[in-house]
Amino acid sequence: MEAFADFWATYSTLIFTVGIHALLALSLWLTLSCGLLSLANAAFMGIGAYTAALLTLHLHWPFPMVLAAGGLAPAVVALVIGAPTLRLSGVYLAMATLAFGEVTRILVLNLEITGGPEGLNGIPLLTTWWHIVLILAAAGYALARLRRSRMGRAFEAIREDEVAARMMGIDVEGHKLAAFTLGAVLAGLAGALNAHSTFFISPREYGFENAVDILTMTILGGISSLIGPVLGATILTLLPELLRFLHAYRLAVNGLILIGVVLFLPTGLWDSRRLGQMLRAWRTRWEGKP
Amino acid sequence: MSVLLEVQDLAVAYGHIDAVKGVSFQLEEGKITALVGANGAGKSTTLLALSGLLHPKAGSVRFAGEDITGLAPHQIVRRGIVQVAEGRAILTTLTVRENLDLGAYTRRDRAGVADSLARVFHLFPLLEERTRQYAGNLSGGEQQMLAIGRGLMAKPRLLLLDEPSMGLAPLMVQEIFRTLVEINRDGLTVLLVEQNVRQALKISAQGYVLETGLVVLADTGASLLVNPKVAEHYLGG
Repeated sequence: MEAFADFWATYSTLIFTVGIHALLALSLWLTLSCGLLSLANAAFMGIGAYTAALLTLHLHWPFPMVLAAGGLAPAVVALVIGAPTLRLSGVYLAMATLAFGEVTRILVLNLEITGGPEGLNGIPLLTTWWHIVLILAAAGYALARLRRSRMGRAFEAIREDEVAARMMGIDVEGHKLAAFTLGAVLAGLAGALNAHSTFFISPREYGFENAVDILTMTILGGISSLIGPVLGATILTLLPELLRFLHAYRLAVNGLILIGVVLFLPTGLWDSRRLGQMLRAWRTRWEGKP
Repeated sequence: MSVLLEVQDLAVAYGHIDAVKGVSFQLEEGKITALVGANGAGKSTTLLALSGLLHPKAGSVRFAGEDITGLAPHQIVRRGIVQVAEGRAILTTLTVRENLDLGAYTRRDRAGVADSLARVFHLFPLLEERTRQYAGNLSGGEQQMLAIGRGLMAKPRLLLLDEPSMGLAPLMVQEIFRTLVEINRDGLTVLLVEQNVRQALKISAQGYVLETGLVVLADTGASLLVNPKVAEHYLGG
């Protein structure tokens, strides 16, 4: 029991981070599932984090309501900026959302209420492990249901071929806005959980680098299923820790591993179709033996 | 015979280039109508404007008595106009069955959807054998069948077909045209855009010949087939 207590004391922060990153990766998975390459999710996370932290610090709202507000605030922003920007596709959408992320970061950096570059200090540590597990599980369940729903099939059709989707009677603009906004809700929740588990938040945590990190986690894990993003988030969070023994070479090796994965497994680590083929190949070989 | 679709002075432009310069035609309910002409005559552009993928610059489109000019594509599909795109536009990473199911996206009557699926499998038995295959692994002809099948799954009142014979082997072209006649026999109104002028006019009750964005000839399919102008320009003399 004591061993566990020691382990928990040392690694709980890391485990919290894995959970929050998994939630972020799932938020981007949702956006990508509709074919939208968005770099706005780090900013949505920031909006959620700041909204939640300010509500706790100044208005002393109860934590569940704080979490709800943390998810809702970026959703409202997503609805407003989504209508004009989602007409863009591919790289152009990535650029527009990137610009939005920078505007958000600079705004937070210069506002008085957000504490400027110093950020917000003394946020009560209200996030417990079961908050993260519960929200992650709920998000995973909701996304799994969504995938099989009418809306999920519409997302898939839009991602595969927008023109074909239109011809089948799918409201492409409406669904894109829905995917973008729902992704913002999940990112905002991750932000709210994060703010209440780290004591301190600053604009630096929600910038361009984080947007790319979220994208890397999701793509590295693979977007063919929900397992991929969670796996990607786990690996990318743990890898720098596991490579600690390499000291100065740590980040270089980290980068090399990523390049290797992208080169040799372009559909991500967890590709359900490829894994299915491998399983079948194995089984036939097994049964083929005398 | 009642008119299902009436197009008045429809004009469509790509930027400064006028692709369709004011065409008028009408489709009779339950008939096949052909829109024929050379490359760049504005046939596909006309179809895209009818299904809402392009916005008309001028003119009006009335469908079953309602003005549908400028509606969004999904609103037009909901009213019963379904387009089968040129180049087929099927979802190659989904299975045949998933493609067909998506065709019925706008419908909520399960029994009716099951009926439509049975009808599609009756028309294209090949598709039933391949329900679980990825659509990308089908041959060109099979993909065209799937595209038409998917269009039928929406239970349209009007089916718009853009070059269904494009890039297909002659036997497959015969097969597709035979199916179109069969679909039409069920009472479905069809607007057919084709470069294969002879085949298209053969199965069409009415035909319109487009040239550089204008209707230059309008007659029954049979009369157009024997029209010397058509023969000279489109049927190889």
